[in-house]
Amino acid sequence: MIALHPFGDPQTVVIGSASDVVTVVWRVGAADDLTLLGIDLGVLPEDRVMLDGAITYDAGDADLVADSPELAAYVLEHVAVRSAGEECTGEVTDVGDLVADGATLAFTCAGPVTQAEVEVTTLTDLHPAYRTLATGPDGQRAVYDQTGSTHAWSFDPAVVTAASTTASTASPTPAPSSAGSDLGASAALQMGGVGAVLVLLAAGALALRRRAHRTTTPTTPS
Amino acid sequence: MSSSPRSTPLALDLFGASALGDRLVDLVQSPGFTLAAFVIAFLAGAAHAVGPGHGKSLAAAYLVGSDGKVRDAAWLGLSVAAMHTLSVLVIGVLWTFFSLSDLVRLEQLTTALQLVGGLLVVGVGLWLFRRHLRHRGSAGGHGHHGHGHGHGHGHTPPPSRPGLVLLGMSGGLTPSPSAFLVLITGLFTGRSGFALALVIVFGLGLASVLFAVGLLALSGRNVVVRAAESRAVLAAATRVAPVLAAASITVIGGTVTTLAVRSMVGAA
Repeated sequence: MIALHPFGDPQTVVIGSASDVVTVVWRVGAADDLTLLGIDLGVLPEDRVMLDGAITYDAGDADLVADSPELAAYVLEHVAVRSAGEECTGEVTDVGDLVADGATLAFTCAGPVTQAEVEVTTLTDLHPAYRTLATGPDGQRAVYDQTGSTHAWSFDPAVVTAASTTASTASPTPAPSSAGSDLGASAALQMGGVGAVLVLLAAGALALRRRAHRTTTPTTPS
Repeated sequence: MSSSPRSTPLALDLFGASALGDRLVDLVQSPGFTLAAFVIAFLAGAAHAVGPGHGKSLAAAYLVGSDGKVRDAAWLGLSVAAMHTLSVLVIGVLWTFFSLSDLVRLEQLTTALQLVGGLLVVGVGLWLFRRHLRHRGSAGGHGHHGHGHGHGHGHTPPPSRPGLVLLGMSGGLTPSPSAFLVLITGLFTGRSGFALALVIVFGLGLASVLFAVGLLALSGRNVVVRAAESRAVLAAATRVAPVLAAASITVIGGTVTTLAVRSMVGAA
């Protein structure tokens, strides 16, 4: 039995900064995504994908892809950072297990960075449905996909709260949806609301059933 | 670059489940709360359930083997929906806010959940066997009668709610990738309430397929009951059905458990 599309971690990036350097740690997600990338980069043979689309992998595949110069070129090509309107210079500083540790990229900008636009287009060239779940400092979060491949990130705690309140205003590069604590509280509130509606619906249905039962019972013919 | 026309990276997309799932994740991010999103969520859930797994054969076997009713099929479907929603919700929240991926890879977690689901099913199968044997013992070898009328008390023990709910839970224990992605996209973009509502509707789509399979199985059994020409054939059929059901449920549970253990050993 082969799982149609195995359930695994989605692709992620973690964005951070220190003075004039913005770091981006990219993790590929599930192992089958890594195999597809390896095939596309020409590092792995094409017969890893079977006719029905199922993917097989060998134990050494992950290392082959991680150690290849093609991978370093690929991530540098698909991740870009701009600060104060200027492109920052990127380099791959560390490549570990791409599923667990990821590849670390460092982008050196012209001056100290308080805000930066980060573009991520990894894997969307393989299939448009891929998306990247991104986390930044102070719990900022964003989702990268084919239509939203650039987000603005703030590395100054004072600006993070301001950005979260103005995130809804239309800007060419959307800011991350919200700061972390806000996001958690809002999630609890929203999902609690959905849960409350569900409980009310269930209670209503139960009450209706009881009433219907009570009114029909005496008149039911034997 | 290896080949110019790239092969599609997604696995064979039976009944458009992946395409519907992708469309659903897009809708979580697009502004506004559309009715269309809920329709797509329901369809995506149903399409997902039509694919392999989710205990469809188990549902059929259980309902046929235990003299089930339409209401029992509904219970089964609803417990799959409830368990699936809970599973997606718990894993999604842990993954987003509590760094679940640092503790365990989602692949490993899924395998573990499959193992639990498989063991649950084996348990239900064995319990069905035991109940059947006990019931026969207490009935003192009393003959079986036809099933034309409404209330079917007597020979085959009626399905029990815990058994049904446990089977349903085992079917909804492992989250579907697209429902999980819908929820975490909602959590990441501040639209978690909408995303959760979509996951619930997705679960109802899953439930509708299980419910339909249950109804098909029940009507199939009724056809057999009506078509049986002699009482002897009918008696044999009604005597064998519970045993066959218990056996197939145990075997399916055993297979799921074995597969889970094998992939755990393979990954280690």
